[in-house]
Amino acid sequence: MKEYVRILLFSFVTSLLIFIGKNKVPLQFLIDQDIVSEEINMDLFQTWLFFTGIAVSGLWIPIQYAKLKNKTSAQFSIFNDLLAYNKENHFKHLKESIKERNSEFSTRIFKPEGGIIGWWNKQINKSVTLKLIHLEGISDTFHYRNLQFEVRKNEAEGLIGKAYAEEALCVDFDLTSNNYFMTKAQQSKLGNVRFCSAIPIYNNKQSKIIAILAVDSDSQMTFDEEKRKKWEEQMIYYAAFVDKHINI
Amino acid sequence: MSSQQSSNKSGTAKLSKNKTQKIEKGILRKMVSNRDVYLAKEIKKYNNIKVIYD
Repeated sequence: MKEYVRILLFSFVTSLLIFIGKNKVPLQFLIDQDIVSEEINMDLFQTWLFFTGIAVSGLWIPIQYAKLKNKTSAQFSIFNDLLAYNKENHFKHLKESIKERNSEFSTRIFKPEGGIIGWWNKQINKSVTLKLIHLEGISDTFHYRNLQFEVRKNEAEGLIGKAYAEEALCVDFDLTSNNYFMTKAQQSKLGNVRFCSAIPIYNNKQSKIIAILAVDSDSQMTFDEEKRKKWEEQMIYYAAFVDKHINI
Repeated sequence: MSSQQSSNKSGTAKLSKNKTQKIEKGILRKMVSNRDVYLAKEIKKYNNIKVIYD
């Protein structure tokens, strides 16, 4: 709050300087009140006030803004590196616990479409579109620019749609054996993905799903009861970790 | 000096792969015990989550 007041006050003062520099009424008022001497050269004084106002608002404020933006972006970069490091550690531990040290896992985040289109689809078409988004430090590279799954009243596309519709942690060991109402285009984009697991991420009140976290792999896997327990535990930890650090 | 370590002339010790793995495992174990507390609020959301295997 203090910072808001400081910036607003500073901006107001510079605007006031420009205003006095272009308008004789305020300066005349100050002379009438004996605050400013009558002997002052009004035109020269106004010119100085005007250029001071211009210099501050045209140079000082933009420089401060640029400095702040650079600082924020540097801090974001450090934060993203830290996220990526934690993610790497998490997967190291996960692979260790399920004895799949050589398998590679990828993370994807899907977000329900918002805005007017999202609202329209939900209210009128009774459907939700889950769109792939990229979150720095968490999401892995996906070769296609977009991938989306639709959740309708009686069918949910993909394991992602299923996790959303059922509000469940879903695991499929062999995606090629299940179609999940997916279109040919969606199947082709998934390419060689064999294993997939998806879990919903909730808002703070736990009243709404704000995203679906998916972890997939090209390797086919089979889990016994013990590995299943460990996988569930790790997925919940990972979802909680993403939930805590990402503002979706 | 331990058989798992070697040192160069400047006196800095280079850890063997085995030792590095042990240290990594130790760090991971510590990390796991800390994250329960750190992520407690978020983990609570998944207390009764349904699990579906296909």
